[in-house]
Amino acid sequence: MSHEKNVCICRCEEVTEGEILRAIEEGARTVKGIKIRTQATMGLCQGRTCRRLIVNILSKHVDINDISKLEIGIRVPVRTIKIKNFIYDEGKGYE
Amino acid sequence: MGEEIIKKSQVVVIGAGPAGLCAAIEARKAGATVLVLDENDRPGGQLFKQIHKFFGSGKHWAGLRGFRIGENLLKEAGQLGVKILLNAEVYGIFDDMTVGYIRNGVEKAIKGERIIIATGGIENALPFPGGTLPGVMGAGGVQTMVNIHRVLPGKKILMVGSGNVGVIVSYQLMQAGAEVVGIVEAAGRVRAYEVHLNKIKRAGVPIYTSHVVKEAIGKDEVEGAIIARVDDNLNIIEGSEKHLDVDCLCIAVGLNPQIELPYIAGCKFSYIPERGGYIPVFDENMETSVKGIYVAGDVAGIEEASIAMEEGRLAGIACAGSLGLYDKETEEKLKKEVKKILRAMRTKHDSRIIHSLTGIPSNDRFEKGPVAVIECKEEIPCNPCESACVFGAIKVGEPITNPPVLFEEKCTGCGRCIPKCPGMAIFLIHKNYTDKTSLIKFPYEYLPVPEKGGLVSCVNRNGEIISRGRIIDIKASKKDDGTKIIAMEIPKEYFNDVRGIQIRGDGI
Amino acid sequence: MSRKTDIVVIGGGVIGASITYYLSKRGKKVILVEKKDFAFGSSGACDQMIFLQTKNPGIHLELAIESKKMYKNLEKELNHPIEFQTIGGMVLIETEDQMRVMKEFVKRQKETGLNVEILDIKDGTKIQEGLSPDLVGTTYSPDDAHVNSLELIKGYIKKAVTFGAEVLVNTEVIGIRTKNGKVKGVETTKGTIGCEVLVNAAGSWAPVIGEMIGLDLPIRPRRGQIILTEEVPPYIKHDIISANYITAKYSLDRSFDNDVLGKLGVGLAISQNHRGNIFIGATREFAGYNTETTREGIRRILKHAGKLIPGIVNFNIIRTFAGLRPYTPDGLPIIGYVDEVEGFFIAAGHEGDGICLSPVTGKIVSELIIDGKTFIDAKLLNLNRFRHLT
Repeated sequence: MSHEKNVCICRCEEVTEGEILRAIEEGARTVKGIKIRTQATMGLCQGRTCRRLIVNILSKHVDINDISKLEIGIRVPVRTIKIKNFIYDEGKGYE
Repeated sequence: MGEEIIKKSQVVVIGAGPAGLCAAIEARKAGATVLVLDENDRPGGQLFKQIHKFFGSGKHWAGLRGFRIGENLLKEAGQLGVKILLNAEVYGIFDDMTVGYIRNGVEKAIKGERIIIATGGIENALPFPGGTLPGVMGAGGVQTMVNIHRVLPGKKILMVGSGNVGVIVSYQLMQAGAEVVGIVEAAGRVRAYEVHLNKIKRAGVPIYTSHVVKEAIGKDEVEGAIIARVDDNLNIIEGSEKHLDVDCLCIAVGLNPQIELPYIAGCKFSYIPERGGYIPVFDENMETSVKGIYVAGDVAGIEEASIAMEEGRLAGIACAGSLGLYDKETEEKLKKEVKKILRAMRTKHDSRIIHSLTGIPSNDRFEKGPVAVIECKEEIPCNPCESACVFGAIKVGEPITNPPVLFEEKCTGCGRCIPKCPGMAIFLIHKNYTDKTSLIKFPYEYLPVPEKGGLVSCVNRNGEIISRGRIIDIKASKKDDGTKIIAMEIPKEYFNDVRGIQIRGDGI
Repeated sequence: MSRKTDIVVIGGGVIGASITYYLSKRGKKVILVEKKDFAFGSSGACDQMIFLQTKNPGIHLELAIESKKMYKNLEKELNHPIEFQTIGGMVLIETEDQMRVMKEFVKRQKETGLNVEILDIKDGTKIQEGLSPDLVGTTYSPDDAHVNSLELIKGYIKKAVTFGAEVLVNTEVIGIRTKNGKVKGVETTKGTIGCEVLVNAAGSWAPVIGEMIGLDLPIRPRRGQIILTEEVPPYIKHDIISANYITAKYSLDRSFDNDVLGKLGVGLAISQNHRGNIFIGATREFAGYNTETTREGIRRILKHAGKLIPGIVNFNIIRTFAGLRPYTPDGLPIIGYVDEVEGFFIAAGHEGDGICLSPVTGKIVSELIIDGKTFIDAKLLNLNRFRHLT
């Protein structure tokens, strides 16, 4: 849908479509391969917005039907969490 | 650190939107212990943003505004004793069916014998130059601003995307007082249901099909947009650029299933672009490839809220059945009912075959007196018009996706069907109101409401002002939930053309 | 496709990349073969430390010190921003028992030549804010350093390519060709590559390659779960680990297994990268090739981190991940030719030290292959050490 190579795909890390295409040229065939080469998806939102755009770009180069081959990199936690929230102990409060 | 005792619930539902609530209600009805987790501070998911009337079956929710459906579901869940934990952000699903979540600043876990993931959809992003400027917003966010917080995102808005979301939000923006400068659609045709589109067209909003946003202009925020025509391969046609004076771009280019949790839970996926992309594979019980984990609603493929609710019910019944809370026979019977509804809502005919019969009266009938005109010829799973007519003059039948047929000889011209149509596609026309004038009754949901006796500008189906009209009567019944019925006298020659009035035009 | 080269290196992690670089730098024709993509295994799922203090005094620490020396020039040598920084490191000591162990550990490290001291917690707080006042003390060494592992791998590969190396990603080794007990080539999903020498640098997957010639390598994947925070302003001034990292890794203190950490080994390791993300790790667990993170692991790591450095609890975590550290029974890598097949070289089993030891591993491998000898006693790292134990 985009018409210019410098259009921003990953807003957190400011990665453009051109950079992603270059990563694919270098051999990236997965979202993780693109991440390693461009830092796309490495920001605060962890790819919530751009992962899908990256898969769309990849779809012109690889078969995207099998998600397990794309290393799309969704990990726990699916939301950002304060460390503090994990160290609360019933009775003792925040340790 | 003391040894943590993890709480248990037979069914854990993630997401208190339409699908999650319906799933919880059904599981609870069977006697299961049910806990619903939702990250928002109020339940209902997207329902409470939906101020328009929903399509659907008259037996269920049809004709009700989305937020009313939410209210009803919450009431039912409350009566049944479904426990809903709000402000509970689920951050992961781990082995042993443990769901980790954060609430009130504390990380907690709940273990479910069954987990129903009903996390809904997430809006698609659209990359274009200037797309990161403040003033470029997703339609969901715009809807929250306008319908929940009652704040306009801008005064002059360009809607990007002509699906149902795009046109419905356009309509709501205009109801709230904004100007929708246009709707841009990359495809060659509008994607939304025609009845939704017609509401927008009557308001005079230009529709730019085969167009894309080339660029959003502005230094610190949106000050304008450049749109351009595209060819069949979506390449911009040079020289077709057009500058639009807007201060907000509302992006409504579809949704995709929010698959993070099923992905983390290890579910298998298939890729179905028309349902939004990657979708967890599920069986006829809505159970995924991971035993005990179910999906329902948009996370199982983007469809409508009415379908999400039925999927939720199916998942809830199936969970209860697999927990042994129903005998096999009862479970199958209940599931069969839901599946029948689902099937009916998804059935599509070959549109070439349907109907020589339509909702439009014959010329003869117009001469005889007031008659309903149903301008609805698409296959929408919706039938409140049928139940609205006590004279049996409107028939939808089965499947529910049949377009309505008007039996004109049975129509008495009472107009009860007008406010019942969620698509605002039914008009009442009395051609021979006087020698020289006709009377049209139409639904109206804008503010301000014109004054009785006042002269107004009348518009045709495309929003063009074609004549003047006089407001004869305004009916505002509580049971119509905000939809007013305006009776307007117009020159007879326009009886088949006038379909509304200029919003906030002169005389209003 | 069939082609020939001097040496095939298997594995696109930091060890394979380093070896490819050092071999091609000395004029060898090298093809690096990677099943998926570079940095896809443990090297892309690790923290960034070049921590000398965690190394067992003796050969292990000697290797680390040599590696650290090599790092000093590496950025210039590779002409790539690998974000190497000698930032200093601290080992936080929680109990008197740990203090006793650490005093002995530090004493032996000093004898090996490491610049390290033990501070009380008051002095410790002067060099790192946010520490718990309940700590018994901390070590400090100005020599500990860190590096961006991804950039490091990219740097090695980029430079190796300028020396004529080839990198084949998305290429899986499916067999090894031998003739008369000698390596003749490797078969891959993209054709055969003829070679006289192959280097098995497949990390936790090295046993899979070993099996192709009937070798049973004593390497096991040991999962390390790591948590990453959002980008925050500089806060972690030195790389930090907890003393139980050392006790967990070397099991110096067996009673520790039944202590606060229960059966899940957690040795805290905290560092902050150039972007501002703080890495908080890690568990050490045997979970096969499973790279999921667990609620228990995340909770234990964060509780421990919050207890030792209460100053970090208001930061947000954005991601958890896990790498499979290639464990060996003695905590040392396996480097050297094997007896069974001539030309089959192993360089794997670095557990959590791959980033730290990558330069020295590249140096040792290139010297052993090209010169037949290196600066240390090569027997100490050879696979045979596990076969002739008695």
